[in-house]
Amino acid sequence: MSLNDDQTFRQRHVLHALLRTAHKLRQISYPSYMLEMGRHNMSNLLVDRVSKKYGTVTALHETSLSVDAGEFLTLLGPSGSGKSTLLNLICGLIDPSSGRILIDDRDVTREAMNKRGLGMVFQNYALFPHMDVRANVSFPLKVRKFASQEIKKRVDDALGAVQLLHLADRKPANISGGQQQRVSLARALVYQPKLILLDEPLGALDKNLRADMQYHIKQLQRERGITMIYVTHDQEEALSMSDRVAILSDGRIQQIGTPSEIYFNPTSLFCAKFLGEANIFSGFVQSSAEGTNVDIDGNLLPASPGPLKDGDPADLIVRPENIIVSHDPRRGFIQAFVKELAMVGSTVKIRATARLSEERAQEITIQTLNRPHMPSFEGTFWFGWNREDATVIPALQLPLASHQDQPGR
Amino acid sequence: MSTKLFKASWTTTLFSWSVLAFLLLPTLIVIPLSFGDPVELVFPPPVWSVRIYNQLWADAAWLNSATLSLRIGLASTVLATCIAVPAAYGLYRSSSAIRQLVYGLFMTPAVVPVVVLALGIYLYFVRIGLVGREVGLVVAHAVYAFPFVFAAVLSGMKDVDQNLERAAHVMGASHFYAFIHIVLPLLARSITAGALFAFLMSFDETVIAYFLASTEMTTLPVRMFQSVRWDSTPILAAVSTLLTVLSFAICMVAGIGLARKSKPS
Amino acid sequence: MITTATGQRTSDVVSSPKPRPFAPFIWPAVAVILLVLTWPIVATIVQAFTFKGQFGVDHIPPVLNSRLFRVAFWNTIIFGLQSAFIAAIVAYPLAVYASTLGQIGRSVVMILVLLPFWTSILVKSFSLIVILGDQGIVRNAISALVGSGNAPTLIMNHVGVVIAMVHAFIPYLFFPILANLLNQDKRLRHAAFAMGASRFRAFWSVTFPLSFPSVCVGIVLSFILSLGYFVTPQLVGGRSDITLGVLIDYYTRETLNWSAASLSAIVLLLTGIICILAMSLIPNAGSLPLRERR
Repeated sequence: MSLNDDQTFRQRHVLHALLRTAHKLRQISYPSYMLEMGRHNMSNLLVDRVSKKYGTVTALHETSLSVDAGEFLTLLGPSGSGKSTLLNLICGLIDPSSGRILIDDRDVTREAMNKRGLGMVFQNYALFPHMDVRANVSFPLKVRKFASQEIKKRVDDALGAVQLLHLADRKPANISGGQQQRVSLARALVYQPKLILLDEPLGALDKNLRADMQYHIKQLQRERGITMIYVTHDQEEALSMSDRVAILSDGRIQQIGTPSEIYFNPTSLFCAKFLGEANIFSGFVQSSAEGTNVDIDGNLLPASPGPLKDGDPADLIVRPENIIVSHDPRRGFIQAFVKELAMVGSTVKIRATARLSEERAQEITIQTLNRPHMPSFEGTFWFGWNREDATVIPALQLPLASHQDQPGR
Repeated sequence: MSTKLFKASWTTTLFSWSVLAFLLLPTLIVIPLSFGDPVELVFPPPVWSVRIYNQLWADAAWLNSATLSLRIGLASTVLATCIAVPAAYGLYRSSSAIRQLVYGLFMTPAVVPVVVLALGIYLYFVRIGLVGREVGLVVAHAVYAFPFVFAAVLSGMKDVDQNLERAAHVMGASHFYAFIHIVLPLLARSITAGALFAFLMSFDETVIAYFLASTEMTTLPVRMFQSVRWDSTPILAAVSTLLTVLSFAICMVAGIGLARKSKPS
Repeated sequence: MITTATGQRTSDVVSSPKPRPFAPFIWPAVAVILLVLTWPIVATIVQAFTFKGQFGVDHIPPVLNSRLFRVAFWNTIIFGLQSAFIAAIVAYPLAVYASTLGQIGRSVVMILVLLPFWTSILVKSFSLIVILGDQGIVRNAISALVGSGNAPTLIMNHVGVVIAMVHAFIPYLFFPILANLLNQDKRLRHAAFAMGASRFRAFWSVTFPLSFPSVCVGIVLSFILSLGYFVTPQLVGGRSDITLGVLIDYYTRETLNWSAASLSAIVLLLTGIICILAMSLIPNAGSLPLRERR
């Protein structure tokens, strides 16, 4: 079996593994050719240059975002990245320092939170403890002064959708965390808002329950065509549930795109490192006959084309599962020494030291399939990758030429 | 694990129980007294009877005073609660710069000596003709009890999760709607405890009621005050017993209510 | 976490309401209190400086210098100080005892202290008259010991007022001292014992000094309360046991000298304010070497 077939198989396997649950959920995959620019006509939500400052601290820098009707968008990022701030600005909990927010082409920036007609699911559920489940779910309908017949019908429907009709008379204190979350969801669905915001709703649940709930939420969203904006710090959750993911850090959207776009084509170092693991090589852009490369001490490392010109400092990013391993030296491959080898079921994770040049060595991570004929190696091997599996992004720091000291990069 | 070092000596124990006896004796002794001799109050009573109580039921003046105190108490409690509960909620949730100032204002009735309060209100009410009028006394007592209800509800606000109000807002409720339907039920225990004690405070309040009294409007404590000074009738024992029972009952109810609240369910 | 200007901590979600949505909740209370309390007090102050419709200060010195006023003022101070100190002496051992009890025992003692606290002052005054009066049980008991001629009068006099006030002040001293004692680090006493101190020595050198600020707070608090006492001196005191509170009533009801009444009220208020300021000067009233909060 040629190594090319190996590698293709490996890639597809990993991609499948990654998007496996997503395939179950997203039978209608979101058309990825719809770029940011062309969305305005169908916009359900438009965030226009919104920022939020607290004194000298900027929680969110000027941000623009457009979300289509029926889309599932996740705001992903670590604590303090601004994702909750953005969500709360959309919700109306806080006022923006600048910019506008439009829902269905209506400027709601100055509108009070209770007039925006949104739904929200909180991390701690926020169920009213003095009301039973039914009364909780009826609340938004009572506020809107629906007739009691209509209320009963809709509440039954909402509770049925989350399969909790049998607990309608219990108080929140007497149901489990997962059930509370479902009631919270039913309460957000019952008055049929066009846009529902979810603020880390599954954070307090254990892993199995979380997976179940992810499925349920996604199913409901798809069935009813509700636009959902979901905030989480859990990458797996984001990648498996979303039509698009926006990665936030330091109060800015670093990148926004479909899960595979952001995973395989990160546009910044932060995004590359935040989602999964990445091998990053710093050098200068150098084109050749075969295409774009990054020059590191004379080694021309292949990469897919990018926006940079020759001579620009660049970081080359390759995912661990895209690295091809060879027992013998091959043209264009780099030598490495194994430091750690871990067999995790069907895959092998290798940490190795790559010799990029006489003076330069760097740690790399490789994830590859564990097969019976796989050469077992402790010691030297060679590695490389296919050109289209590497992305080039502009480097923040100038990589130093090999004859200078590296300040501990 | 209490060691010998941390146990009180027998002298301290004895002294303490004597002090407790001293504290409780005046409160409790009226009970046996009231079942005694209807002519002269003596302890221990030579005969046991309910004749003092019969005297009480037959005395219109005392009964009128009792019902008056009851009316005033209920009305002033309602008024005090109606303004104190939203005030405590509003102040707790607000982030205004003059928060401390308003808090100070709200606590003033508790800080000023009652007699100064009574004098001020009297001089003011005289000019607007509210002396001897029930309305005036209701308002005065409401202000007197206000800091208490306010403080009780303010401490109860700690247990009201603001996220619940936010959830209500997102779902379309106004601040007022959320206050009525979400916050008030959660404050029920604090409100009840505060209201119960406010009623007791109004019922027992003597000084303001004395200053604002007229012959038609003498509350129970004022009548007792006059009676102790001038005629010292044995009916006082019966009234005292009933008042003591009332105080005990309210303390028990409010105390149990508050104790249950602090237990996590 | 963000701390607002008033010290309230909120989560990252700073709910900054649009222009003051909570103000309407507060207005009714503010209106009522300003109308029924602040305005009358201001009016009283104005009244103190108004005599026969004329604004001035000439009428003030005669009132303040009158024998009546001076007696009342000094009685007020003396009653307050005596009662506060005696109550402190009586309440302290009780607080010590309660601090050595378990949770349940302590709650029982606290309830037993609170029950008379919430009983009407008239009931208590009336009872004291009965108990301490000439035919009362206490006097009878003392008479049995020292003979009926030698038994002291305990009511309708200075002693009676002090006893009644002490009875009222005990809770105001008991609770602050108890709170302080409970908060003290038990290891400090333990250390004292380990170094060889006797129980009394440990108490005197360690426990008592640490509890001193709370004792001061309680005494000042009781004193401030005593200033306005009106019912107690009239019921259980003698003819000469006039206090400022009684004086205010006298001026208002008997002589209809409202300016004098207001003046007395102002003096009372000022004395109270001075005491409150004094209370804030008590060092360490709030913070003490306490048990580490785990």
